[in-house]
Amino acid sequence: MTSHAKRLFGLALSLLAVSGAWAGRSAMAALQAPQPAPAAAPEPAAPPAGQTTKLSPDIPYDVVLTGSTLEAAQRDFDQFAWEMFVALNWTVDASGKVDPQKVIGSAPSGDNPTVWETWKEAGGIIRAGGKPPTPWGAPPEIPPVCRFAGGPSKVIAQAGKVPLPLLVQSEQAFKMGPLIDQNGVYARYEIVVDQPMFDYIVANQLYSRAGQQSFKGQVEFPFSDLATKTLGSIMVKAAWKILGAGDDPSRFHVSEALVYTPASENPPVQESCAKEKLGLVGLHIVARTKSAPQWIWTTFEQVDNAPDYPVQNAASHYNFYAPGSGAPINTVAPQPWDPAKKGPPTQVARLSALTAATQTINSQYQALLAAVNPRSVWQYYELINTQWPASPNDPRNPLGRPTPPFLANTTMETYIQGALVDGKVELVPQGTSSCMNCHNNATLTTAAPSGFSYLLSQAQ
Amino acid sequence: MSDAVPDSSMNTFVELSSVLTGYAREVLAPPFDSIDLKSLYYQTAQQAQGAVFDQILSTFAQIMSATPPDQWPQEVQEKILSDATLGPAARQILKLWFVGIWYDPPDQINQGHIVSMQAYIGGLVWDTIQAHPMGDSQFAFGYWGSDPPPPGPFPRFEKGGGA
Repeated sequence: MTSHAKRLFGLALSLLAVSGAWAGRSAMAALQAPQPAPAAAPEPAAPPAGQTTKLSPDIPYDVVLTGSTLEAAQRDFDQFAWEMFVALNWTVDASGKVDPQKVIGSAPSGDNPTVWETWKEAGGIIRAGGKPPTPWGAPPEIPPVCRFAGGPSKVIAQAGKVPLPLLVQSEQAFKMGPLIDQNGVYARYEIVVDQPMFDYIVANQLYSRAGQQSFKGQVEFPFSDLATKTLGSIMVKAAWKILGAGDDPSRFHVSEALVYTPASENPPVQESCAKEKLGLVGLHIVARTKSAPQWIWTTFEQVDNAPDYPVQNAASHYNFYAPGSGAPINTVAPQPWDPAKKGPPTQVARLSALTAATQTINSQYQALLAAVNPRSVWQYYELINTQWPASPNDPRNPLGRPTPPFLANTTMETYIQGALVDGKVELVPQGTSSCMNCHNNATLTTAAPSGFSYLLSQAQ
Repeated sequence: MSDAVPDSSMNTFVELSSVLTGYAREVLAPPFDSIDLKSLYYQTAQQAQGAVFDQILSTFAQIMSATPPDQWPQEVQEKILSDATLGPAARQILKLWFVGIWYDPPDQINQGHIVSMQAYIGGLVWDTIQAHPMGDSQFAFGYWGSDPPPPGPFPRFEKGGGA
């Protein structure tokens, strides 16, 4: 630095011393119309140069940037998001193996068992008393109350994302509460991780408090690497609604599961379990890659969840919004909460509309999915957005500059989408949902950083 | 927001801001800039300063075209910061980048407002002092138990792109 530069710098310091959609819906409306044959599916717009919009069972290793602008980069991350969505929802056979020939949604029903549902559920990793996880591929542990003859082996035990004893296995901070559908039924949630992430947790005994205390160094989950074609850590969070009156199962990925409600003393809730048909309403897919050590955070929703705010030209039916009800939007139901009973439906509106670019890529993929099978349930899902680190390797900003700054799924960050001030939406740092900002605070039980995963903080 | 400002004017503003603050333009206007403070600051200054802002930019544009980058700080000192009208206005812009506050009138320190929540978080002062604003941190929980990152360099000068 020259003397003059130092003088300018000094001047700067001395001065200082004194002194934040509906176009896509239109495309969906076209898709929802009766389609006589796959050939009648809408023609997708051409993908950007360097990108190939196709349906593939191959999980992407990393984002491939095709341009140098923010808009181009965001499109590349959205492409990555859709490739991930398609690959993780690809058809698996009875043994849980991917069947490349059975294209996503190609079964006569339009639905199929998926890759991510074969992964390890949180309850099989973090176990009572710090017991080691059940082996990869082992069936989930079924609570005694759920042991019906001939019942499904999938157990959904989370009734929310809040850190309340009743809403178990929660790992989300912030102001949270249950999400209650139009039938008065609580939404349910699950968390699963892929094998590389699971193996890392097991190898380092991070599943227990004792293991975490003896763990030395920093939690560094393995990352996917395009150069070596190695798959790394992927987490999935799913939000489900119990299908009931008014729901059209042909528009949902459906899973039959045991819905478990654990007992609680305050408020008094009796342990219960029921076999239900669940419809997928939200899906977070989070992947750690070589180019994004802070992970890539992407989220999808079923298209009928909720309208955009301010609500205009509302459709006749939503999963989480009643046209004309007058109920305040995005407001947590009054306590006490009891997932085993019906509650007041949550009136949900989306505070940040999908961008035009995201609507475009949604239309492209939805058309591809519909072309495979006009009955494909997967055409009824949409990407909300993808958050990624714009400066992934800056030691002075290890958070990596989350881009976009905010991201919320109406089924999982319902109440922290933003603030309504005089009818206007305000996106408030640290107050509005940002996956990266929030998970940057995740720790082990030792208070050491846990590599952006809250799962490990539940260890016993 | 950036669509409203011609590219050439924005480029002049960012280069000037780089000279004033000592930070490289890549810090002030990163390639993937979803926050886009530069546009907010441009419009804040333009609306408040009007013709004076235009004069600052035109003066600096002349400097850019007439002299090599390593002479820009000296030229800014002589033709902008030392000017009775342009100097205080340029210092308003400088302070805006560092603390996210628009001081008005320029040399008053008790009269100003934080122009946005992102401006508060994005003030260069936090990087300069290796800290973070209250209530928001780019560091992971428990960072205070580890050595801080390397002292904040001022990339403009380290890269030799400035004086």
